[in-house]
Amino acid sequence: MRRASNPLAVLLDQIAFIPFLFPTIAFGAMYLTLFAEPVGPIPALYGTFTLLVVISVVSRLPYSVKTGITAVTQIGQELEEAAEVAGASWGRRFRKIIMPLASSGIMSGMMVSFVGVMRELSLIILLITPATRVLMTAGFGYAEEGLTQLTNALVLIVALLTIAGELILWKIGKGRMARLREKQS
Amino acid sequence: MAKISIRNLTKRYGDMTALNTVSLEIDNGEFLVLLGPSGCGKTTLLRCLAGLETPDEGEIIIGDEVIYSSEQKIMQPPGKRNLGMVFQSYALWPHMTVRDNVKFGLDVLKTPKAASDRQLDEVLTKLGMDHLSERYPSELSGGQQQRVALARLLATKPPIFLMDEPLSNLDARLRMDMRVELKRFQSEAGATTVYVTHDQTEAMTMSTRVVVMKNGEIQQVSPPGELYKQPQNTFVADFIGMPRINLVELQGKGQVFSNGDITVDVGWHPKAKNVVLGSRPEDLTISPDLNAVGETYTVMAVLPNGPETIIQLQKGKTVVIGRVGHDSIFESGQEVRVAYTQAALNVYDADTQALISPHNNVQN
Repeated sequence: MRRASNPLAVLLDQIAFIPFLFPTIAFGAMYLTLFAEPVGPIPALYGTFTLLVVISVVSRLPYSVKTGITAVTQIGQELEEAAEVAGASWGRRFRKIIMPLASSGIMSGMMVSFVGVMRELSLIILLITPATRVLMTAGFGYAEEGLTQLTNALVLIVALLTIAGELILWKIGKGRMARLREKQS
Repeated sequence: MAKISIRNLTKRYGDMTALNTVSLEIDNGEFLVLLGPSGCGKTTLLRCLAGLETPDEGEIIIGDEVIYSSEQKIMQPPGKRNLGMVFQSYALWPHMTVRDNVKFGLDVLKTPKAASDRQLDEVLTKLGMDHLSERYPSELSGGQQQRVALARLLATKPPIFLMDEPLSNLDARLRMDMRVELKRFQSEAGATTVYVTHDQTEAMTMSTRVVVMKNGEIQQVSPPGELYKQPQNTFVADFIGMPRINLVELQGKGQVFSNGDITVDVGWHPKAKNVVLGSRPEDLTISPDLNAVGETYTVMAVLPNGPETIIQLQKGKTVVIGRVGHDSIFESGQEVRVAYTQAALNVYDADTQALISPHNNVQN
């Protein structure tokens, strides 16, 4: 899984980056046509909240994957090898060595995605229905109807949530920096 | 019993051959040092032994068990090889306390709690780390981290120790102390030890045998004394010893060789016309008395260095280095008589760069 040297790992890494190449609105349009009707075992997702979650996750995949990979590969190779020589199985190494050391990095990767999705409008504007509104689209709707006060309130909420997310991210980042410094010293 | 046999081991990285048909027998309880310049394959060999690197060809046998064989398609994972390793970076887990770091190996072996605790206390006390057992690695000094790495190795009592330049991150004085200590723990445990280093002092002082490597090939396997006195080729001769050995290319027949500047009588009859003579700096007798035996050289430089003084000497275009006691007084520009100790001269064939001794003295 680690040390992206085998072809499969490289391929996965590349695939995770595809969403990065599309303009988000085009990406939304793609999902609209893709999931408007049932495809094989997947039911028609248009109009469900599930679809919004799916597209948000996929569109943010490059960031999460990249930060995740960085977090894992930054752990010195010898740290894992030491456990390997001690006879620890892959599962044990992952649980006891890799996860504890990479968790803060992976968490901050998730937070980056979360903060980004919070502010997302163009990605999901095509996919929402009155039943599945998210903050940004609701705000957009209010603005269209001229409900300035409601719009402002919503924007404030979004801003506060984003700031809160950023703060959490910052805090994780600080802990992570401290730990990295520890590792180097 | 942990005897290690390595047979025709080859490891390639793309076009680069890191190990080229390396064969080596390591005896039970031996302290074997792999020595060589960087990129010579010593670390690759150690990692192949550990199972962290998969060789391309050959065989490794520990005790009676084949742990790697390209023909039989056997590749035992590191954990199944019953060995312990100290990494150059120590590889201490930063999120675990000293105690947990040492305990990890015992947990993997599912040691019962009582026995595990006893063993832990024992090893931590032995290394003088018992009062620091709740600290994290980042809160320890380099020397203490080194001890934790050592404790982790000793805790599970493996019959084989592998060490990858474990002292290279310590300062010079601490390194000297740790050398003694390491050696003591190793002989107490009686573990077969393979130790990688590029520091020849470490190799000479700690080992029972030294393996000198270059470009993925073994150059010589000898006890340290023999390695110093009888290097098997000019590479080993040049690599071992500080200051360096004098290597001078000379021509001649019979037992007297010359390059126009200097003439040396080797005292026996090597069957080669072009030779390289090797003479350690301390095997030069330097005398201010111009009637003494030998030839007259000019002192080019005098470099005092504590107990000894290094003297650079020149005759014509030939430059050699001599080593004398700190109480000898020489000045640059002075003319001196220089004689080579005949018994300590090593004669190398200039074509093959290999040692010619009276025993293998055959014409190529």
